[in-house]
Amino acid sequence: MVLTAKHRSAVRLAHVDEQAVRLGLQPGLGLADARARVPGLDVRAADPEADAAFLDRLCDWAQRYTPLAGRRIGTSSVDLEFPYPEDFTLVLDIAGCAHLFGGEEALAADMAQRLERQGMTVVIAIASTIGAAHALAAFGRGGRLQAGEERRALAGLPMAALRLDAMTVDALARVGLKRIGDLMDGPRAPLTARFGRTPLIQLDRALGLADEAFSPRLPVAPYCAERRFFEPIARQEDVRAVALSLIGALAERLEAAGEGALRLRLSLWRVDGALAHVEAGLSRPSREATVMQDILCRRLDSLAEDFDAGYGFDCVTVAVTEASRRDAEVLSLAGADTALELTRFVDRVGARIGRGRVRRLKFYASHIPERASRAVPAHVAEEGSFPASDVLPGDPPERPIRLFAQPELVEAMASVPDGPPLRFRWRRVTHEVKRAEGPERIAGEWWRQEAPTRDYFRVEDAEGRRFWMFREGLFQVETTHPRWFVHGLFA
Amino acid sequence: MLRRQVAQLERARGRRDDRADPGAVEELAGVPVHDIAPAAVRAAPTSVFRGGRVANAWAGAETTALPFGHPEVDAATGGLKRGALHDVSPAGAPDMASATGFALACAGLLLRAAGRDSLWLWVRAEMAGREAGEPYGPGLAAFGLDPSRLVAVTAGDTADVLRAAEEGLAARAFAAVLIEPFGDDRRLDLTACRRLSLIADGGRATGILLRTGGVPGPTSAVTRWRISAAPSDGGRHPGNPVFAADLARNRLGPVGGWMMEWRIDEQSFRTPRVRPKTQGVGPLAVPLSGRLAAASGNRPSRPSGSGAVVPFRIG
Repeated sequence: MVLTAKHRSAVRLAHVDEQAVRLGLQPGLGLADARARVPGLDVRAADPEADAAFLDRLCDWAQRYTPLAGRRIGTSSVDLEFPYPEDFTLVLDIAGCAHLFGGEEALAADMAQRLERQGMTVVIAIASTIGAAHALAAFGRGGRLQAGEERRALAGLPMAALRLDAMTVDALARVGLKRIGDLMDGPRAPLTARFGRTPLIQLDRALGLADEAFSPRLPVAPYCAERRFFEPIARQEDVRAVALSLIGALAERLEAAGEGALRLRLSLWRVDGALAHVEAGLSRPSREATVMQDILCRRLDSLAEDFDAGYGFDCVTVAVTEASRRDAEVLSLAGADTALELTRFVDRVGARIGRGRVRRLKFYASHIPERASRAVPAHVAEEGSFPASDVLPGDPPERPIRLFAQPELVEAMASVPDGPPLRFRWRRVTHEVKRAEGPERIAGEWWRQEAPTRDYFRVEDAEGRRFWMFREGLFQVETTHPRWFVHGLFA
Repeated sequence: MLRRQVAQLERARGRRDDRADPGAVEELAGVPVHDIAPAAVRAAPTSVFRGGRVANAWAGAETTALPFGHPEVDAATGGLKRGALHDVSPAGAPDMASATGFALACAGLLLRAAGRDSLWLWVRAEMAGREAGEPYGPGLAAFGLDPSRLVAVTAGDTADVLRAAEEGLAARAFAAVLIEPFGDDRRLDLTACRRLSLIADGGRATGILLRTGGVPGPTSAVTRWRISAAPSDGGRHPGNPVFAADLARNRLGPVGGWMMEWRIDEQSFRTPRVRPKTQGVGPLAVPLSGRLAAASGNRPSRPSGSGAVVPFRIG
């Protein structure tokens, strides 16, 4: 079986399985050639996005071993010949984690067993540099390297194991440098002059002579607590109970550090390898276990319908993904009681129906009506105020209480050039205008885009319903057929 | 059966804790109050009754009423009862803005009494915002409410509206809670309504159930208002909001219908002045009473209003 991908308008093999290799097929071969060689070939199209998504999921799954798990380890090396991501390597930084699993070898064995149970073929290599581990995993047979053994272990591997692009590998091969060992003892200056710095930098990195940065896929949570089970747990109540006790542990550590949690993430590892995250946010840093438990439980409840435990979870972690210094000021404010209650309300309802749905109104200095008021999520909104209305006492309001996000087009009869509407039809009902006031002329903001001038009228129909209407465009200046809209409703 | 029980319960409660107007409560035919209460408690989902809320709810916590400022309405209702649920619905679909205005005016009464800095909550269904318009900050400010103290929740469906409203009524942060589901939804039944009433009962927040779209369903609110728009007395231009308020249900006293004008600068209702009816505006609008439209370079130099009346049809 082979997977194909389109490359420069030719369909080529992207990946081949073991049997295909035995038949002499290689990635990069044209599909027509391959078909000619092996008539009964099983051909499927490659799906790079699905592969990448799968690797991301696998990478998150690998966080059960260490918080530092990442994917992209290629340097600038882009395979120019065939730009299909060949990068199927996960990198885990297990420094300081291995002893939790009974040593590095036990960790590797555990991981291999779990992944093979999920139907994957994996090669695991452990080394003290990323380069060496990658070379061993991708081109060797995996295994574990002690520090200092890199030179010997890498010498026999092909040059491509240094994560060089195909052009460089070809160029090196043409002058007889085929194995990594060929680079190790040669003079460095001529190599750099001819092939650039990359080959030697990659070599130094693999040998531990140069540093290599590595970025984990998910940022490392500052606080994290986890629990593993020999027997997987499946009931929602159990999950909740475990989460609560983990939060209790986190709360103590937050207390000791004088910090408060802003975002929480509950991660559930299912036995069959699936991983579920439940995230919840707080609008003020908090370290009270009860508050955090409350928020997370509400979030869990709202997901109750999609809760799929399958064969159960064998590992549960709760992480504080965002923490900040707990603001001591908050507690000393005079109105702290209401402020605290508000915070709680925002967090609870936000956890339940979505944080973006709890909002505060913000004034924005614009004379375009729909821009003057904005709804901002409450957990990020700062306290602000609207300018006082400058209407004289006893005068009716100038702005409607409700505004349509999209002004609604109406059929209107009006006097030209700039009289108020006399009659209009809105939502299939005809309204006779009895009282009108206007126009209030609002021109478009010239520094944005050209928008027609609007003439706003406050009108009242025969039944006493009050509308905020505008005519779009100046008659005979901007348009010959001005359109009328209902933009808002007065009480 | 349930409905009858709840109705009996409400009447019984009316007798127990309404010192304001005991005479208005109908006689309860031989059913001891203590026998009814637990039945209703069982009828409502139990999760409401956490943390000793039952005790609070049934203790008849002190409630005060705020005068509307309209003598006849105040006489009938004893004012707007705080720590309770009120029901406001429009008489017809086009009256939704008036119903909103009346609900906001009630919120204005509550906020004025609770102090300038108190917060208020407006929970509305997404559809309500689309159909009747979103709350508009400058307009609310012009109406006398402080938009910067508003917490606006947009919920996807009625279940979420009710959930957020229950949280809002239980929280001690808000002086007024506007609850605006949209459409007639079976989830907004008597049980849901009863839950809201129970949480609001004796609490700090007063709930106003604003049924913008849809047929008014069963309610357990203290008062139910049906609001329609009424012509304002602004002369040739629209004046202060006037509502034709029909008190369709009142647990504390008689029902009735009144014209009520909302005075924005006083944050109070009053009886509208009776004026000789003005006729339609003709082709000329009255210039703005407040700020005048800015003189624009685009404006034609000839006097406005001299043009002929021409119908526009927009297809």
